Amino acid sequence: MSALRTLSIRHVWIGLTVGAAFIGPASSPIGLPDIYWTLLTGAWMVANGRLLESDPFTAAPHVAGPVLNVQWLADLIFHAFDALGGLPMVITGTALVVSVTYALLLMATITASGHLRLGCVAVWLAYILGASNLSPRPQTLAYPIFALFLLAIMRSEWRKDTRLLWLLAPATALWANLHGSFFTGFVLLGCAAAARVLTRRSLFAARPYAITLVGCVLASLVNPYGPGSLVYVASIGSNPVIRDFVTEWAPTTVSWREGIMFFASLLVMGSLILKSRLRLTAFEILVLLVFGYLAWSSVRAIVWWGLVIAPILARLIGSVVPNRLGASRDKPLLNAAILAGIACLAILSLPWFKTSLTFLPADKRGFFSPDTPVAVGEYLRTHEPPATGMLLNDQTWGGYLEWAAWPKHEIFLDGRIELHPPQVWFDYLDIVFPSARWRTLLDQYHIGYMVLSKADDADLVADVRVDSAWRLDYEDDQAVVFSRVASAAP
Amino acid sequence: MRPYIVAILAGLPLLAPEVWSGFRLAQSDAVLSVIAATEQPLSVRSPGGVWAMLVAVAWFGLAYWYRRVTVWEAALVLIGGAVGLARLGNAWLYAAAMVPPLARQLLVARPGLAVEVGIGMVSVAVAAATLVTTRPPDLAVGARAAAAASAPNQGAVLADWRWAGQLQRELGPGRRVLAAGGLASESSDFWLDYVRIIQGHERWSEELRQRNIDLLVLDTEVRPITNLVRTSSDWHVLYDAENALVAERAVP
Repeated sequence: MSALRTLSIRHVWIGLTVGAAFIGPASSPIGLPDIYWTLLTGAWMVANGRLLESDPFTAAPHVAGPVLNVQWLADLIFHAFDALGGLPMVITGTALVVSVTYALLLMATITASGHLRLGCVAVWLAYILGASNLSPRPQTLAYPIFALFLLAIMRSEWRKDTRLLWLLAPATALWANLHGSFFTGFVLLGCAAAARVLTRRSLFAARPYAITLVGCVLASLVNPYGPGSLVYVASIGSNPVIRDFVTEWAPTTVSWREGIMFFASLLVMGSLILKSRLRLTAFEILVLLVFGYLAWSSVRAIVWWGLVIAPILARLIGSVVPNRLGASRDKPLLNAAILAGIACLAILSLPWFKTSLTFLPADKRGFFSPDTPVAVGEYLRTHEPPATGMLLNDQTWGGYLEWAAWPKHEIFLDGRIELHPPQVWFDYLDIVFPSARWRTLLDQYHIGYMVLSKADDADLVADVRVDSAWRLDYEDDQAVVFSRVASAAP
Repeated sequence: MRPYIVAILAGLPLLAPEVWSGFRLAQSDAVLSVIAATEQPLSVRSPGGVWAMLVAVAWFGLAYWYRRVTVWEAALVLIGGAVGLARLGNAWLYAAAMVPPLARQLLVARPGLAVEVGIGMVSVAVAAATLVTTRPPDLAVGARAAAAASAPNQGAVLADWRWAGQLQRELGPGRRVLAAGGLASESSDFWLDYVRIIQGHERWSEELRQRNIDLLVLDTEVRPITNLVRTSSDWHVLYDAENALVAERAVP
């Protein structure tokens, strides 16, 4: 009871922020396909007792050389979630990781601004910017580490406490085995070091950050591929197919919802900076310029932008809005009731219980987003492949279909663009367009059956329907399955 | 006066992409974006995209540093920025909108003659480079002659959209060159068919027939369609050199 009396409005703000960060991903269906090959890879590594060296899941020709699976540890972690409680546990584990991220970010924001309530508001805005990127996948496991980097730098900048910097090298060793985004930590430390040099006009002043940065770079080599991991990260962004055809890697424009939110965040930041009397620190200016450019360069970098602006945003809001939060407003019992309500909502939002939440839209109550081809996945799982010929699938469905039907069916392509030479992708695009070469290409790749999307591959579906060389085996609202008639085998 | 000249010069690189396709104000278009960079939303990869960002950052940096910003400046930056972000081809309006705010900030900052001359020279150099890199290929003289010498008939001419206007002038009113009036002169259905044809869609030949097209003047860099035309028995190649391919419908 005495513990209840200590519950203040501050606890409510923290509970609301961390709770919302948990409830969002916990109550969302799986939207991105990455998790499916992540789970498959994790299961394969556990079954075979070694790292993946070649790709057993897709049948299209692969690039030469061994697979560099820099996210092997994330694959194993997600597989462990899956083994513990299936997809609901994968979603719950992800929600926990996201809530830890925003809890660390809140600490960083409070450290920089000194305002709890405004820090919470800034973290909510950061959350909105990153909301579309919080699905279960390896990158999500990197967010808390990035937030830890931010917290360590904020404590060093605003509290002169450099102790947390020592954690960053071991954290990088972990990060480099979870996801290729570990270079963003280097960028953050680089900004901090450069800002010190600029403001104090002394290389020596940057020593804490420079030493940490060197430690982090060395720690990033602690992975099964050594420097190959860094080379992989450097090369992935220059892959012509990834650069030109993958939405997530496309430059940010107002065509995307995320793009509109990014430009809106620029407007908010710009207005606050001009309105406020606050002078930004050199570190803040550098971070805004560098991460702003990264976010403008690629849609997938917006989530990092959201994280780095939170502490700056809180400081700016704090300089234009008075902080009226006082202890006199505290009503411990009401606060306890609110916190209990948040905890109940968090529990109800879990995948096991969310079907009972009537206010959730129907398409949010399942484990899968509505565009997931669940029915055709079940069809593949329960039907043998034709005697000859490979499966051609709609690429965006590749992840789900391989998760649902491998090893009975080996799909053609999934979202791991870098595994296949660019020509394979151009040929795939020619087939689904369909270009005048589609029949030749199907023969060339020995395609015996196809799983196509009625919406995304409409022209090809229309052509195949009237082609006597193909037979319709299955059809639902989303998908069709065609197979070659025996006399037309490739 | 000098700050205004510098601000105008700083806007020149943003005018360059539209010089070749004509200045207009529009929304970006997903289909036209495939063939014309100016029809895409402004991005970091757009010609002049990074320059547009630098102009905005320069204004903002000065405004932040000197803390002397007026509401009309902010409004112009906001409106110009929104219009420019919507479509690269609108960047000319963004450039125009940025002149007064940028000039005012330069007036406040008084960076000195050397800096202003430096900014002006860099701006002109970037504008020239953008003009050169975005310039469409010329239609070869031989291709023009081959098109003019082709058998006159009732059908329309499908030319690379960048050459359509020039070709219409060359061929005169006796032939109809599609899209001769520019990107805004045809319907969105036409452009959807155009993109499908040049990308070698399976029904390219049917679509040409449905649109009653009997003369093609194509850029050979657009490989899917030129390869198909070269090997098609429906088309007779009249000219295939330099960067152009001219073909007329074969008489059955």
